[in-house]
Order: sequence, then C-alpha cells, then structure tokens
Amino acid sequence: MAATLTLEALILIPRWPGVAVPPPIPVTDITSAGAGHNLALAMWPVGTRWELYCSGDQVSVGVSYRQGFTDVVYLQAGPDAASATASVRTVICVPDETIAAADANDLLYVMASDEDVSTHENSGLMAIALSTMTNNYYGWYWCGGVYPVEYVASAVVADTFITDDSLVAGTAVAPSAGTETIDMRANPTDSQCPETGITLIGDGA
Amino acid sequence: MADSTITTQGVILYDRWPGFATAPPIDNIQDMTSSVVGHNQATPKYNVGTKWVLYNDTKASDVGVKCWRGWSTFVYLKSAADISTAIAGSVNFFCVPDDTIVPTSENDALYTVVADTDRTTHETLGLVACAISTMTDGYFGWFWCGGVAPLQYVPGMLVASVFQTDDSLYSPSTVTALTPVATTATEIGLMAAATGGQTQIIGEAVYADGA
Repeated sequence: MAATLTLEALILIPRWPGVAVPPPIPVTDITSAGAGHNLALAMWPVGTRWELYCSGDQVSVGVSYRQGFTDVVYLQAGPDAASATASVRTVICVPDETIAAADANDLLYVMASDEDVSTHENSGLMAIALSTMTNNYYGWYWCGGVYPVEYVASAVVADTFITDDSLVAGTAVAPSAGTETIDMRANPTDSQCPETGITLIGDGA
Repeated sequence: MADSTITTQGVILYDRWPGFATAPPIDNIQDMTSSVVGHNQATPKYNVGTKWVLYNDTKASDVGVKCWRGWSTFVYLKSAADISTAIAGSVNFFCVPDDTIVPTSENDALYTVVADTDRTTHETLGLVACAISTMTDGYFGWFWCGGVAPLQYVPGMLVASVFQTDDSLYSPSTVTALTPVATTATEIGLMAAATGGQTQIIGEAVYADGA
C-alpha cells in the first residue's frame, strides 16, 4: 500500500562511485541551467558528485528545514522520463532498462523513474529527481545527506516521496518496485539489497 | 559453493576503507600500476590507507571496447609476505587483511592483504580490495576498492576480465548486494549478501554472474 513521507524525514546514504566535492562554481539553484541542469548536452561528466551545505535557515523557503550536507550526482534522464511515471521532482530513480555486459559506457547513469522500464528497482544506485526532466537530458539528482531544499528553486519543506507505508522512525530503507513508481520501503530483515538511507519519522501519518 | 565468474562491468564496489578519497596529488596519471605512482614498490611512496579517486572516460580508443564511465577509488596497501605462494595476489583477484588480526598485531596489519583464503580469517571483511597487477611479496601498491572497475588505468583489467563469484549474483528486485566470500579454490570471490544482514555489503552487481 502506497503512502508518503516528507523528504525532511529522509537521510540518503550515497552509493554512487566516487566522492562528492564542493562545486567548482557558486551554486544557489542546482536546478538552473547555470549549474548544468536539464540540458541536452552534459555540462559535467556523468557521475560527477557535488556536496552542498544546507543552512536550514528560514530565509530561503520560509520555514526551517534540515541543516547539513547534501550530496547530488549528475545523471541523464532516460528516453522514457516523460512517459508513464514521469521523472518529476521527488520521484525515485534507478538505472534504466536492464544493464548487461558491454552496454554503452554511460548506461549506468541513465535513469528511469518507472518500475516498468527498469529491472534495477532495488539498486543502491538510486537518486531522487530535483525537477521535471526532459527525455535524455542531463541534470542533478539528490543521492546523499539531507534533502537540498535550499538549492532547489521549486522545492518546499512539504515535499514528499512515495513509500510503501512500512516506515517507522529509524528505519533502514531501500528502493523497491511500487505501483508503477519506485518507492522507498523498509529494508527487509533478510535483505540482499543495499540500504540507501534512513528515515527519521514514520510514513503514512 | 559453486564457483562462477562475472565480468568487470557487472560489479560496483562500495569503498569501506577508513578515510576519504581525494584526487591524486600528481597530474595526468595514465597507469595506476606504474612505479611512477608508487605501485609495487619495496618502500611505500604514500601512507598505507591513502585513497585516490580517478575518473574513467573509457573511450573505445582507451580500452578497445566500451566499459563504464565514472569514478574508481584506489587504496594504497601492502601485499603480504607470502602473497606469491598459493593463490597469488594478481590482477582481478580480491584481497583482504592477511592472517588473523589481534589486538597486538603490527600497526599496519590492517593494510597487509592476501588473496588466499587459507592465509586469512577475514574473508568476509568489508575491508576488501582488488589487486590491479601481480604484487611482489611484501611490496606496497594500489588496489581497487570503490566505484566502477578502473579499466582505463589498469592495463591488465579488461572488459572481458572476470572476478570470481559463487553464481548467486543479481536477481532483479531480490538480490543485488555483494559480500566477499571464500571460494572452493581458496580464492576470495563475491557472493550475494547473506540473509540476516550479518556480513558487510561491499558493493552491488548490476547483472547476473555465470551468464
């Protein structure tokens, strides 16, 4: 059964290759073209990761929110991003289609938000879209730390993500196939899938 | 367990070694197995446990065929004194800390690694790394420990190269996580994470082994 939870309650554990570094440019809105977001041509190598600090102040969004570091990764929206379950802000994304040996060298970084078009719904290589993405365009996705409210122009503290109504405070979570979408659920006790975060409060409240 | 293999593109490693990986302090690294970067040297050029990240552009011209773009993490370790015996520490072989670590072990014992499960009791440790060349006994060098397989920087690691597994890796929606394990050949291979969560997850498979 699907439920939702505010993104303030989710802390992501990044599983993407490499390490996050401070951006080489000033960043106020990670979903702006200036940062290379939602562009036909990649401004940064796919898999690039940046670390930003969220002040948690009321100044930017009107209310307080989580203070601390956030980690974003540069990925490519899949060819189906705008169809079926669209790749819009706050949806959970994983590698598109089915990855196989000798695939194109960037396929690991091409994302889908529709569980019908991916067989990697429970991959540790997950990230959350920060805006509506155009098919095949490149942009930034949230993959670690606190929700980057401060750096996403359209984000609000009330933003939610989809869960399976299994989450309580302090739950280790992993992505999984939901109804059309990819949701976040408690990692089963016998899990053979990577944990990708923790929740601070329960869902469905 | 039944032994099997998976090709290099199938494995993404999660770095579990202490510390933070940084960009190398030298420019234009082409080969992480060269002496220029301190690989396979009797005297360490860097502190053991030093970690570097390098980006694989993986143009077809670099490695002959396509392989993953993206970041690879390397850790500077020491091959054990007996690494050339039994299961040698050579390219594409996973290694873990040598022998059995105890409170009074040498201060660098954590970073002295071996590829032979007959010579270690740490086969399932999260501190696992993959050799990128044949190592000389007791020498220091770089091992792959995180991200995509570093084909651009390791001449002996190819798209068609394989890692040892137990034929349990990857099943959509149920099994993706990896832990190290002793194979029947006394090598250190990769297996699906045990149920119950009592072993370290050191990465994930993005397709099945044994295919």
